[in-house]
Amino acid sequence: MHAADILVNMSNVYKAFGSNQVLKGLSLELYRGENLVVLGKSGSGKSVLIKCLVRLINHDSGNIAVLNNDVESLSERALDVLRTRIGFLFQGSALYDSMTVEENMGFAMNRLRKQVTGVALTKLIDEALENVGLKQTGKLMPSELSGGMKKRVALARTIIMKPEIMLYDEPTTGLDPITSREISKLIVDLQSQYHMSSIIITHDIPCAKITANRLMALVNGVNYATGSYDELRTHQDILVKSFFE
Amino acid sequence: MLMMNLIPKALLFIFSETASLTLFFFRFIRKGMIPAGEWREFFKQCFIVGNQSLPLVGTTAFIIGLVLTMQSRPTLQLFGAESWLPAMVGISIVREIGPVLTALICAGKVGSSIGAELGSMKVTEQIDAMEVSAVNPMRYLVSTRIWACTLMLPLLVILGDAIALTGSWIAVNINGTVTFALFFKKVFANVAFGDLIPSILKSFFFGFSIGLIGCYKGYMAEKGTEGVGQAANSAVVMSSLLVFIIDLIAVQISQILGFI
Repeated sequence: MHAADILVNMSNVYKAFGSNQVLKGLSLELYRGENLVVLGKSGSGKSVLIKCLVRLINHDSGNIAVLNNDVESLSERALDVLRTRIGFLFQGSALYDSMTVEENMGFAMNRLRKQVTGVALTKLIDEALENVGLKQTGKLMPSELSGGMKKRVALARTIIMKPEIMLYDEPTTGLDPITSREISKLIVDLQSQYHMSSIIITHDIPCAKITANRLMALVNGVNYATGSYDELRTHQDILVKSFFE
Repeated sequence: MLMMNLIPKALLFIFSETASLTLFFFRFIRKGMIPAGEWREFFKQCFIVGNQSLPLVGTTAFIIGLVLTMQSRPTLQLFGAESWLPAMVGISIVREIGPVLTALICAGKVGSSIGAELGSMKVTEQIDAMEVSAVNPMRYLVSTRIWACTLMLPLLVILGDAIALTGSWIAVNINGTVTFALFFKKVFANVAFGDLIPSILKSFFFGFSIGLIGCYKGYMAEKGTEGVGQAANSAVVMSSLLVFIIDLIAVQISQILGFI
């Protein structure tokens, strides 16, 4: 794989909260066009990992390069520019609950791409909503949406900015199996439609099976095993096996 | 022994809160002191702080004006100084009761609402979502609310003072007949600009501190819904306390400058 195709490169990253060492020398790479699923138990530091990528959390040591930018040394302005190239789907959707779906979708757009206004913006919002299967919901408030719909709107809010990298924090948590499958398929569809590369944090194996090009098992704060779905499923190590039982 | 353990803990808490608040204040100055590009949100917050607080401020001010007059009247009557009632009530309301009462009401109503709103946004990762989409939450959420409180509180104080004095005039007329014009003529004959200016100036600081503390407490909220409740509660407690501290400092400064 060519170096230019590595979009995210974490090497030897450490992060501790007080005495709790969460990441203990984690290294991973995300290649252009792939979906990398990170499997890990609750509290294993999966969410910390992707929050370090966008500097929502500062790591203690190690190197993180995203789209050829050293995340740690970026100025705030440069970090904002980088963030516009990354989409982040939060575990609880994180929709702005005082705004309608439409306002949620246009919130960042109105501030960062001021040339897109009026009809052009409405068209983009409609298109993004249609792509996640939620046409005609623009006027609804987040409180009027189901859990699955919230995830879809949050996804639409992110893809409207056309990011190069998508970070999914437990995209199927709290959803029923049918909706989980729908969201997982949507992730795959959007990846091919928008040509994105993604890191998907989950412990939902059916979701991993549908979405992953490559999986990584995060155990004890390190990259414990990497491979395709079938490679990890048939892995002999007891810790890796435990994810699939 | 228990006291010995409690005092260092309390001191440590006060120092760490002060340090944390100072850092938040500098972050506000550095990242979003002027709500540029967020004027719509700023005017919305002005409406919420100003317009929506007015009924409560007005009702309370009216009752305070009424009660203060009714309770002061018998004492002044004893000394045959009943005619000084408008002056006494006017100076009390303009100098002290109006600004402090309005600030305390706003600390309760606005401070708790800002603390709860931002706290809830924090624990549901809405503030993080703003940050990762490269929108500056300091400017959109914090700056707009702080400046709305700073600018609206003096206006509320002026309206509150007027309503309280109207309440006082009604109370005077329960046991006698004094025209509205005469009552206010007597008030303004004794209330000078030296009473009004420090009172308005300190209400800017009251407003700023209520906005700052509400935003700070909300922004620092953690531990889920419990944290939201704590943020709202401590925003009220801390900003009320700060109102009294600012009031104390303002009185000292007014004395030094010869306003009192």
